[in-house]
Order: sequence, then structure tokens, then C-alpha cells
Amino acid sequence: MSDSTHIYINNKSITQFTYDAIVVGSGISGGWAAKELCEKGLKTIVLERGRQVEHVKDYPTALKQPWEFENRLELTEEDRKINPVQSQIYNESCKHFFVNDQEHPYIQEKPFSWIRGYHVGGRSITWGRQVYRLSDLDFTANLKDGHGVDWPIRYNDIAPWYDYVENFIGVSGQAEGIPHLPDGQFLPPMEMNCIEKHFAEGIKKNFDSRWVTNGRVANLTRGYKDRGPCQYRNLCNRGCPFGGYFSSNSSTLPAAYVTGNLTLRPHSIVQEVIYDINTGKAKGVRIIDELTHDTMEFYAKVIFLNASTIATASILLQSTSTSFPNGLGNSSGQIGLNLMDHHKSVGANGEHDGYEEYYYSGRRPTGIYIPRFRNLNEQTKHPDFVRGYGYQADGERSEWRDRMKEDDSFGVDFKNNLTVPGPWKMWMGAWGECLPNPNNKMWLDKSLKDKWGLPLVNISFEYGENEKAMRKDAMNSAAEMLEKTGFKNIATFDYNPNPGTTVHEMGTARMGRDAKTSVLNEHNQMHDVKNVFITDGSCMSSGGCQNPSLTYMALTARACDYAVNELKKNNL
Amino acid sequence: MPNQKIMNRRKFISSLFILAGGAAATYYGSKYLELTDSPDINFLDQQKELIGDLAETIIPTTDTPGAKEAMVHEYIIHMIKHERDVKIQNNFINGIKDVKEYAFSEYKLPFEKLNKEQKIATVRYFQKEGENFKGNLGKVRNKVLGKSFFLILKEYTCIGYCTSTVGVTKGLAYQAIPSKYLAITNYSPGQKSWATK
Repeated sequence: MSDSTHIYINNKSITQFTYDAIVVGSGISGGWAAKELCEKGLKTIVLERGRQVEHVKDYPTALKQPWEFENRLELTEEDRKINPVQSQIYNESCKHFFVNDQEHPYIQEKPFSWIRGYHVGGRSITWGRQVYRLSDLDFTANLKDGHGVDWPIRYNDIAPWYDYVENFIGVSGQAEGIPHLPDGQFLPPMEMNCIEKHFAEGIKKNFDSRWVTNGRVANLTRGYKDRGPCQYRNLCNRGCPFGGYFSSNSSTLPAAYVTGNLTLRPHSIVQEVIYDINTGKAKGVRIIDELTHDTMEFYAKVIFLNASTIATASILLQSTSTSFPNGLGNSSGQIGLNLMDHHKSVGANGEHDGYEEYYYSGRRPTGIYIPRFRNLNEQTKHPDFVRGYGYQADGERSEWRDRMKEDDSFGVDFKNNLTVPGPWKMWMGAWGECLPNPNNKMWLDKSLKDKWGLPLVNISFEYGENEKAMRKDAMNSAAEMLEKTGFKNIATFDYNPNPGTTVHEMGTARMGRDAKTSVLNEHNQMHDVKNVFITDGSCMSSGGCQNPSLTYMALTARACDYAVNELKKNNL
Repeated sequence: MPNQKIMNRRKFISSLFILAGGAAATYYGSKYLELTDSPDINFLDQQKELIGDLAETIIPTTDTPGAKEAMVHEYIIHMIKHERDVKIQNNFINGIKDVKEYAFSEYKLPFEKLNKEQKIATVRYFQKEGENFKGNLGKVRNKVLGKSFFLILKEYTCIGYCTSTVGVTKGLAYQAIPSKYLAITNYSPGQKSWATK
């Protein structure tokens, strides 16, 4: 993208402000909406609340060496004081891709870490890049156990769209034929090292219905669509100058731009979606310029909200009218409720005596994955909880960060030990499903305003008994799996993390079959306002335990296809 | 005991630890404040050589460069100044003062002027002094009193060294841009470990 994509409109004529489509947000799902709508010929404006981040040019730390960082990537007092929330996730090399907590306050009635990246590309720059499909085990979960509302779609509805987005983003992975973790369109996987192979074989031998596969990751194991390949630096969250992984900046926004249909306007904070009582549709959005604080309106036939789970719900709640006094499309009263994250930072690690004659070379930006094995069927039913968790795991040799703590000595021998690899270690951490629960929610506190005069978000979130029971099992099962595969010095851990720190917020404008109990229909279209589509994490009826971004992308492409067809039929 | 002042500080710390939570904690409460006082940060800038010598004793020059050549003292001072925990700042600054006093009372010389063996003996004294209690007891101790001087010195020396230009490129193995990933390679004893993950 060039500077021509920054537009600052002075001409006040209505036509200048009118587009075919408006996309709010330029993160992982907004980027997809922009690409799809532009490629289908719609003049599209993407409104991004933060600054421009141009691929490669605006990755200031991407090529820095470890010694070029003042704090050598350690956090400081300033981080803790100024950014108590964001500094739980960022480090010195990528903190410029996270908001400043002082400038962007919110309230935590019950603790929830709201991690944000307000700039073009959003959190698609710093995302974990793990991509796993949901399956009918997930799409039928609410129906079966009664938590939340039934998803209005099933796997077959989304499967071709998973194929479609995987073929564009580039996913490395291994096809396994696991029924509840469907295979995708994969580039060659990133291989397991010797201890991971040992572990995978041991699991196969010792357990039924447990699998170990290579991490499925949106990093390119070969050059793909003018991007990559991955250079195995494992510095992805700084932005990749080689285009080695998928982000809006490296992939979807450039694709949207080449169509000639894209207008990207940074510094555009959406204040509200404007509802037209005469047509029963949304006619556009009103923005506040982040820098000048001027307001401006943009109009379009179709609007995609992709501001991220909590921000999208905020925009809807801010968009009040006589028709929707409680927020646009909120006749169900569900907007803001059923906030979900994944719970993690629980598991086990252990050491292995063997394989001392092996090492590895290059820094693989993923690990291995152990798909869910609880509550798949009657045989795997767990008495204490419903749903399940998967493990992300990683085998590596102990290096200086561990070695420095292994003994209390100092001097020549200590240095010699510090600088050579120690024993092999396996680390396993669970990513678990949080049930949809109306008590986990966000809303607006209208008495408190941010510097743009917008009401502050208040969040209340708590893990329930189901999550707690699942964590206990995830911890003990990890230890058991390590023990049975020959590891020693096994230690379990539960860091009891703040909700939100997995950065997988979902569920505040859920899809459902019934307009009385859900916000969106099976096409991610608002039940109440047919030309508004929502395809970020807020649409999720349940969370599964898989990393969710792939599903947002597939749902976005699917919804764009539907919206454009409806436009052609004059239904919007 | 060679030095009354050092002994007193140590005695105070261990009794605080033992009595924490009990009635005597009230008495020691005022002493505890010493640990949470605003630290004398500027003092550190005058101790570069001493801190460099301490770091070099932790990671000495061998066939590869040591902590001093890696300018680890600059990093330690920078990080103590920007440290998250005021107790760590105070423990470190008090530790430096104790090292000075100890060297002088034992050897009648400033630490910087000691020979290699004397420096090792001095650091060993502080290693024992701050011996990290293992298990839960150690965790509680670290939480109440902050990490020991020796542990702070050692950890920042290691981080500073293993992220410095010479540490990364000479002390350890490093590829800025690996370009490829080899999941399984042969390892021969003595081969350096990777500097970055």
C-alpha cells in the first residue's frame, strides 16, 4: 500500500462520502471483509480507529538484534505502571503494536484483561497464528448440553470457506484424519524435533483417542503468493519483512488495494452506526477523527462490523435510536452478553534423559498440538465437566534462560554449563473452552468518557465451575501423559491467569436461529438490521477450544459472498 | 563475624523472615519499610567498575569473552534503575554497599583491587548469605523480602551477558536469519547452545 491509501477528505459533498460498503476495523476479519468486498467489485471504505501500519515499512523492530533493545526485552517499572494490562502480553520488541492503557481506559468490574492493537492490521500483526478448524463437535455443543444457543450453522456450511481462506493465507500442517479436528489445505508441516517425535510415538502407544500433530500455523513453509517463505526467526510479532506469515497488512489489505476499490481511512473512531427509520436499515456510520476530534459521516449499502468482540458490541450499544433504544439490533438484549475467552496457562512440563546427541537448527514459530480428547463420545465422557481442551506443546533443550536458574553456582564451570544445551524438556499447556454464560459480559458506563467523549466499557468475567474442573483435569492429564512417555522431574502448573490474556474474546453478538435470543442469523447478518454484518469474534455462539481466528476469517468470506449476492438481488 | 553492620542486616532479615506474621512483625514492620523506601538510584552510577568486577566473577573470561567485555554492568545498572520491584532495587543497592564493607573488613582493600581468588571468596560469601531457600519457604521469603542480592546480581548478569553482542555471537551460537529449520541435527559435546529461541 502507498500513501495514496491515506485519504483525508475535505470535500463535503455527499457523493464523496458514499461507498458501496463500509468495513469497520482492519484486523484479521476486517482485512478479509475488505479483500472479499473489493474483489467482488464493491467500492469499499475501511475505517480503522488507529494509525497506519504499512507492511514492512512500519515494522521498526523487525530486524533488530537482541542487544539493540535497551531493556533486552525485559519489562520495566514504566511498563507495569503505564500499561498494567497490555504489558501482560507485550514485550519491548512489539509494544508499539499494543494500545497505551492510559489513553484507552476501561473498567473491570471483575477482572478481564482487554488486550488491544489500535492500528491498521490490528492484532493480526501480533497474533499467535495457530489455525484449527472447528467441527460439528463444536457446532452442536450448545444444542447437546444446553449452554448458550444452538449455532445456526454446521460444519458443512463453513467447510468450503475454511478451504477458501486456508488457500489464501497459507497454513502449514499435517493432515491426520482426526474427526473433530478436520484437516485443511496444508503446506508442508514444520517438523517435530526428536523429543516431540518420541512423545508422539509414546502417546500413540499408551493412549486411545489421543493424537499428537504438528502445530497448524499460518506461517509459510514455502514461498506462496509473493510472500515468504518463513525464515525461521520466530520474531513474528514484530511484523515480518519477509511476509512469512499471514496478517492483514501483508496479505488481505494489499489484495484489496490492487482492485482499485479500497479506500482505507486510519484515525477513524466509529461513534455509531446510523439507523434509517424509513428504510429499516443502517445508512452509514458516524466517525470521530482520532486526531482532530471532528465528526464525519460515511454512507453505504452494506456495513461490516469487524472492530473486535468488545469494540463491536460497544459500537452497537452506542448506536441508540428510537427504534433501538438499547443499541442497534439489540431487540434480543443479548449484545454484550456471553463474553468468552479460552482459559490457558495450566499444564505440566518434564525432562528427558535421552537424545543428548541431537539438537535442532533454526527457530520454528510453532510447536506441536494435542487435540481435544475429552467428551468426544460416551467412552471419553468426563464426569466433572462438559466440552474440553487441547494442548499446545513444545519440546526443546534447556538453554540459558533455564540453565541460569538450575544451580546456585557462579564462575568458570557455571559459565560453561550456562552456554551449552542441557537436557530435553517438554512443556504442555492447555487451551480450554469457556462456556457461554450471560453473566460474563460487557456494557457501557455512560457516566465515564474517554478522550473522544465515548462511554467507557465495563467488563465482568469469571471462570465457572466447568472451567475450573477442566483446568484440574488438564493439569493432571498433562502430567500423566509425560509420565507415560518416559519423562522425569515432572512439574504441574496453574498460573491462574487473568481472563482475557489468551486474547480470544468472543461471543458478545452471537449467531443463533432465533431473533429473540441471538443477534445474528446464519449469515452473520443482524436479525434486526439486514444490511449490517458482524464477522469478528463477537459472532461466536460458542468458543470451542481451538484458536478462533481461522473461523472468523472463514465466516467473513462466507458472509461477504452472501451479502454481495443479496445486494445483487436488491434484498439489502 | 567480620563486620557488625553486615551481620546486623543479615540477622534482621532472617529474624524478620522467621517472625513474619507473628507479634514481632509489628516491631520489624518499621525495619521492613527500609526495604520499600525510595532507593538511592544515583549511587549506582558511581559503582560501574565494582559491578563490572562482580559480573565478571559470575561470568568470567575463558576461551570466550566474559561479562566485563559484554558491558554487563551497564545493563545491570540500567535495569536496576528501571526495576519493577523497589525491594529488588534496595536489596541490590544494599548488597553493593555490603560488598564494599566486606572487602574492606576482610582484605583492607576495595573490592575492585582484590585478586581473582579474593573476589571469588567474597562473591561466595554473598552467595551463601543470600542462599535461596528451596521450595515453598524460599518462595515466601522472596515474596516478603524480595530476591537476594546474589540472585539479582546473577540473574541480571546472565540476561545481560546472553543478550549482549559478544555473549550472543561469541559466548553462544546465533543465527540472525536462519532461513531454514532443521528439526533434528547432530550435537557434539561442548557445542554452544542457541542464544535465542
